Amino acid sequence: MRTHRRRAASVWRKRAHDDRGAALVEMALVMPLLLLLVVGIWATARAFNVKNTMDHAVREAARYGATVDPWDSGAAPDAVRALIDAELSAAAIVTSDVDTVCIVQVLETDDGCDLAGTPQVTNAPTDQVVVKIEYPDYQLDFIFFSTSVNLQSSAIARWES
Amino acid sequence: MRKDRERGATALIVAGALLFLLGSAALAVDVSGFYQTARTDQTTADLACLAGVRELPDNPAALNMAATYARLNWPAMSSAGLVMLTSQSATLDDGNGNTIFFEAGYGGQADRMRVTVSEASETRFGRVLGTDSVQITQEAICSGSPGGGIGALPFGVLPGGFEGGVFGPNPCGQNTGNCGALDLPRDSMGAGADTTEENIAEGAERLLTTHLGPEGTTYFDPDAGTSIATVECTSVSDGQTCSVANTKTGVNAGKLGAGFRRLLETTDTNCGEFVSGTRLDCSTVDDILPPADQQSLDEANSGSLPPNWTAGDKAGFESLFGPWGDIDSSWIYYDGEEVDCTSPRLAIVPVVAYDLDWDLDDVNPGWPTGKKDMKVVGLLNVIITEPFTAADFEPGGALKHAAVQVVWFGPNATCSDGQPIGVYNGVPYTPTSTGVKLVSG
Repeated sequence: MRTHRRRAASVWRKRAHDDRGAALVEMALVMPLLLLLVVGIWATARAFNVKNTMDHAVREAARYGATVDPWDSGAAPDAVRALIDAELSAAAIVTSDVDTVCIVQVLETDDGCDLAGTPQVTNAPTDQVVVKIEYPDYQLDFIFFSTSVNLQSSAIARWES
Repeated sequence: MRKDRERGATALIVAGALLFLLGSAALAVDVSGFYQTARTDQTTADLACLAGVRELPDNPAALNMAATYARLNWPAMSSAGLVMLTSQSATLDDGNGNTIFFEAGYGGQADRMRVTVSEASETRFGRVLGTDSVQITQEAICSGSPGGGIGALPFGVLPGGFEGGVFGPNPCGQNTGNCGALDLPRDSMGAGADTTEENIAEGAERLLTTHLGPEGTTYFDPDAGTSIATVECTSVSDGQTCSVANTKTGVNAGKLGAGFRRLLETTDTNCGEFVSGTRLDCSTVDDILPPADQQSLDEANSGSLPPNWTAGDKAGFESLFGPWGDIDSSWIYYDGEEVDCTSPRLAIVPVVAYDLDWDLDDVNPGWPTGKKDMKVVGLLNVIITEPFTAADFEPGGALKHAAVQVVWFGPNATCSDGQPIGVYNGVPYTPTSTGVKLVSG
């Protein structure tokens, strides 16, 4: 009996000094944190990339829209949107996820376009093209949790034609 | 013993690595934010610059217009007042480290503008290290140039030698000397080939008025309501009853190419970059003139004369361009509305003579080589059909050929904005339209 106890104590003493498997346990503890960091960096960078692409798209689209002559409220917005879609697609953004808030050539009024959030300036020129798009509920996925943001971009170019 | 000494080392390494990783993540987020700020600032600079440059050379108007569009595109500036620094520069400052600097006549060039946007981009994690913001600066330089057929192209068309309605196909085919360009002086430039480039890109600076007949004869000026005695003209100059232009000697193909590229790239909004080797749907004749209203001169004539023409008109026409029948089927007659007068392809070319009986007696059988005094005897509305693609330029940028389609506008022809169009009483009407482009942004 005493011999058996001594043997058991000896095994535990040896195991206490045995590092085997420790790395695995530590990795298991650290891996979630690492994953959170890596995925977090990726998700955040992608969100910035999407926003940057949207900003670039509206800037290109507004300039293009400002040169469409004659402006046809039935056709020109589609052409401007097509340009936006091309820019979005090039960045692997699903175009149907991005809504058109407003593509108008503002003449005497805002033509019913929802300009909420678009800066208004006293005595603003009326010969302009306003392009505004929105990516509603853009998902920032961090594996263990996720959140969403509304990404908006707008650009206002002076009518050139 | 040795193993005991290494106890905790992994924890330190992990802690260090985690710090590094966290720092990297923070840096990535902050730098992404800077790029985002730079993108939006560039948009503000570009669109403000493009809006303002169209007002040049009216510097205050250009600065104000640029400021207006800067505010429109950057909400933080919407309440900032424009502060004029000099007659050519101004600034917007919101008091929070965000500024926009506007400079008209940038680089000493009256048609250029620069907009510099500087924003204090707040950091998200950098403030841990005491850096609350980083100054991001973006700038745009843009230029404007008149489009829409302002002035005249510096090319002479010989009366009677203008077959098919197209001049060329190779005004510069001979690379030695006179290649069809006219020497039309500009106030601020010398007589070099740069002037030719400028005259193509911007249009002739001075009005060209046509010679109306031998010296001593008179003609009735319907505008003035009086008869005016014609005199021999001696130079290109406003206020005279006619204009004379020397032919341009020297090899100009490079400058011709540069001039056409500036004209078309800058102002033909349907056109892509010539220099890149591809074109993107440049404006065609049908883009500028609605096809439904196009007729040949012959069709408009219908056996007599086009609407509102008199026998005298026809006689004058034939004295310049030869028998009616030689040209009537190839020249477009247009008397409708909705002409796209903003197209830079809509231009005016002078008809010049060196061998009419009321010319300057500068007949030289060696034409077209050598310098000649060419009397302006007419002005033609044309649509520049070539250069049209990159293939019309040599790899080095020299122009291979240029060609135009002549358009004879009827009295009812109007631009799409309702303005009249054409050459009236020998003086070219010049629709005002400005083409703008980003030089850098």
